[in-house]
Amino acid sequence: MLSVDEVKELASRARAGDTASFSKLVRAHYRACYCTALAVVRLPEDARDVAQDALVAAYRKIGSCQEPARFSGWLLTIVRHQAIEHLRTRASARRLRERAAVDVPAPAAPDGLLRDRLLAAAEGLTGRQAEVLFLHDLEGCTHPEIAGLLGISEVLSRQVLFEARKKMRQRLADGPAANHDDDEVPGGGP
Amino acid sequence: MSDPNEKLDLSCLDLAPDDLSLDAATALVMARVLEDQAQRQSLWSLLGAYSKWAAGLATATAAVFWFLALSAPEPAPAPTAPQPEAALLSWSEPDAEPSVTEMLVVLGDAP
Repeated sequence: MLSVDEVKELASRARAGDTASFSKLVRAHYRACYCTALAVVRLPEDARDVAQDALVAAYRKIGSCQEPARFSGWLLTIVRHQAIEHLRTRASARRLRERAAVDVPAPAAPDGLLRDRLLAAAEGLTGRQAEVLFLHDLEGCTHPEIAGLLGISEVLSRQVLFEARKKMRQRLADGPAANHDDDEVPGGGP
Repeated sequence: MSDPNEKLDLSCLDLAPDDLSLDAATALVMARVLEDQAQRQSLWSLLGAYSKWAAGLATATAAVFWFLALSAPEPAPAPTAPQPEAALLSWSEPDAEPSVTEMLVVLGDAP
């Protein structure tokens, strides 16, 4: 990950219209954006689209980034907003599909079973827990980096990660049935 | 029970696991950024070109209206109504000798 000074320098240049500097920022933040989006939308492909849309939107709005040193936090805020907007769109699209009674099969994914189990287990996490977990265990951010990105203390970051992992392990150990406790089961059995 | 401090393996959720895929994702985003920038620039240049024409047209229209306003004939002064009181007062002077015609005009009985 880039240092705060590097981010500040690159963001200042990007604000002045330097696309090469923005490209470096994109590369450095792409995975963090993806993790933040995944924490909200909980579907990898959707999270990738949200991250990309948010990065494009960030370049368009970069003039409003008043403090280049805090570019990373500013960018993740855009990602969160974009992800929430995506959830709204997804919800209305789902309602439309349900109304039309059209079944759209989900695309098959590699490691589908494990991936589905992880995603189902992550359903039990709060947005903050999922974000910290993905940033740490997927992106590989350190606690100081997470604290800087999310504007929280390192202690809180450690605490949230601990809780998130505990919940995940519990739900993974309990199996798929436990992960769907809260879900509606169509025509649920006895 | 496994240790909650142990890292979870979430690699199957990773859509850009190596440098190559990260480079590809970055290139994709930058292509969209540049396309978006080009579209906005072309929109601005289009607006800029049209705004020059619009400004020219507005100036010409204003000039025409200004010219027409200046060259229009002065409106004729409204006819002043006769003031019989003043005339009657002037006849009260000792040396005043109004003619018959004048008196008829002032009194509103002119032929």
